[in-house]
Amino acid sequence: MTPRDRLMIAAQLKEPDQVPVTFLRSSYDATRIGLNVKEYIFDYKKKLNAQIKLHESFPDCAFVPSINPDFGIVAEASGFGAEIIYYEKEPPMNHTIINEVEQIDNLKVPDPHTDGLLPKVLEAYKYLIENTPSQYQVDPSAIRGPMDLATAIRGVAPFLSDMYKNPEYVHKLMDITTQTEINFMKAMDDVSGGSEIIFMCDDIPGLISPKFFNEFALPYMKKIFNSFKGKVKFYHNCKGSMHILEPLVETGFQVFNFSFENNLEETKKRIGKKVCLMGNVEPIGIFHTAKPREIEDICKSQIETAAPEGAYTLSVGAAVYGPDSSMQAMINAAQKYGKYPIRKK
Amino acid sequence: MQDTEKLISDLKDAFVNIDSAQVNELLKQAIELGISPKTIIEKAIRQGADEVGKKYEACEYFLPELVMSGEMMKEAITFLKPKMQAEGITSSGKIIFGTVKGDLHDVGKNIVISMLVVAGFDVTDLGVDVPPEKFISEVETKTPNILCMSSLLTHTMPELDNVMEILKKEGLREKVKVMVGGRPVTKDYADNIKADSYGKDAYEAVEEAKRLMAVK
Repeated sequence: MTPRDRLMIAAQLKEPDQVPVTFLRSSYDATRIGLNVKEYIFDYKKKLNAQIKLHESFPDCAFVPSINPDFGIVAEASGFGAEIIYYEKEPPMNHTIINEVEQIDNLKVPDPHTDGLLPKVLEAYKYLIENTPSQYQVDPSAIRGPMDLATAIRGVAPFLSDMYKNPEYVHKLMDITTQTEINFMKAMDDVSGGSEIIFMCDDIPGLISPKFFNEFALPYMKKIFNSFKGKVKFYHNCKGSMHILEPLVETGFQVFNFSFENNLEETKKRIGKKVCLMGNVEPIGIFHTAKPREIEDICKSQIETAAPEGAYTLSVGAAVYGPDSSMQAMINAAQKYGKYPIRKK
Repeated sequence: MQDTEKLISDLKDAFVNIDSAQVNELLKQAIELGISPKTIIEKAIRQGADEVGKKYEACEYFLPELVMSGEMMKEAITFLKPKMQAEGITSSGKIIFGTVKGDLHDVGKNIVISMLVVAGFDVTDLGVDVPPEKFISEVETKTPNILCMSSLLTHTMPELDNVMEILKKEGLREKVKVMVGGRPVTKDYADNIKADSYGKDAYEAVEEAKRLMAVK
């Protein structure tokens, strides 16, 4: 059974042969081999090699997305004309484009075939599909959630205060960002002929009240997930989400990569029979800095808490992975303590 | 007297309920009633903001409420400023504030600025992604008492050190106190780059700014 098979079984709320280990892909692919992130983004051959090298180094874990176009989180914002800032060792970021709320009236949904970096993503996706060795899975690029994209082009603080001052504009912008993500995902499906998964990152819903979540986030996330029936939907949110767990699940994803701020036991109890949980080792103080032995112990405890009855994959509670030694420690823990059947604590 | 107390209490409640329209209306009424800006700020705005902060800590409120609280504070001070000047209420100090180059985060910075403004500081917000030359020219031309810089990303933290070095090189370091902050920034890091002060959060930043103003 491959790590991806294990993950997909867990995504169906079942028990694979052992607890899967799954990492979110990020620019660590590039930086771990000394490749400049901008070069990694635009040189598709180097991108593919970097991603394959990571798979070769860690054959016993899954990555989501697997081999994929990976332009960081700026592709959709660039489609609106946002200026991008590139860094040598970190993923790029974008400037906002909406200074006055009324500018939203003139905002158009970008065309993924012509606007910003979106056509480049499609081009890279085609290259990867044509050139990736057959033993590796090629996935579409991760997409930004509609609220993350809205804050990326409007700014976090103005968008959050719009919820009080200009709620009608929040809905207008969310309509546009939702359609942007649907069109982008559909364009990627046109390239591949249809993908197995969709991976969406939307952190901002973790920062707002349940009332605002229900009003401003839930219907839009649901619309995106509903537009891709039959795909396995992964949702990532690295902000605390204990206050919105149940309504989050209503949006329609199957695998939830959640924050280290969430209590794992309570998260499992409340939604663990409805979605597969992916998490949630603390990223900086533990995963990035602790000794491998300590990481193994923490993973063992997480397995005991969340793995019984399946629907669980070990992971980090944020979009972070590396160093290699920490990744290996997590894989070791799954092999030592994660063989099914696993009894409840 | 009773009217004054009720109005101040209503104003504080409107603030805590994030009712910005009502806050603006009651502010006008308070001035018409002849209530001093100092009383309005201390008894209604600051106490209201403290309560919003407590509700945030208790997970009753979330980030939009905190952001709105900051905006309402700034708007209130802007409205009260002419009256404050007329009554001879002076600024607690002049501050230049910005997020360093390469960093686009501004939520935390904006909240700290709002609280500094309510504490009586005259703050110039340079925004985000501020190049070192901009910080330097602002220190040269505006002669602030304090330069505040924030960094929210580990890879933009060295920019704090970079600005400190340029300040030294340009002979400006002794002319301005420097406070740094932001999620990855620690007290140790602030000490290492020889900043005068470090603010862990908005509350600490205000206390530190007051402390710096008392230091000769």
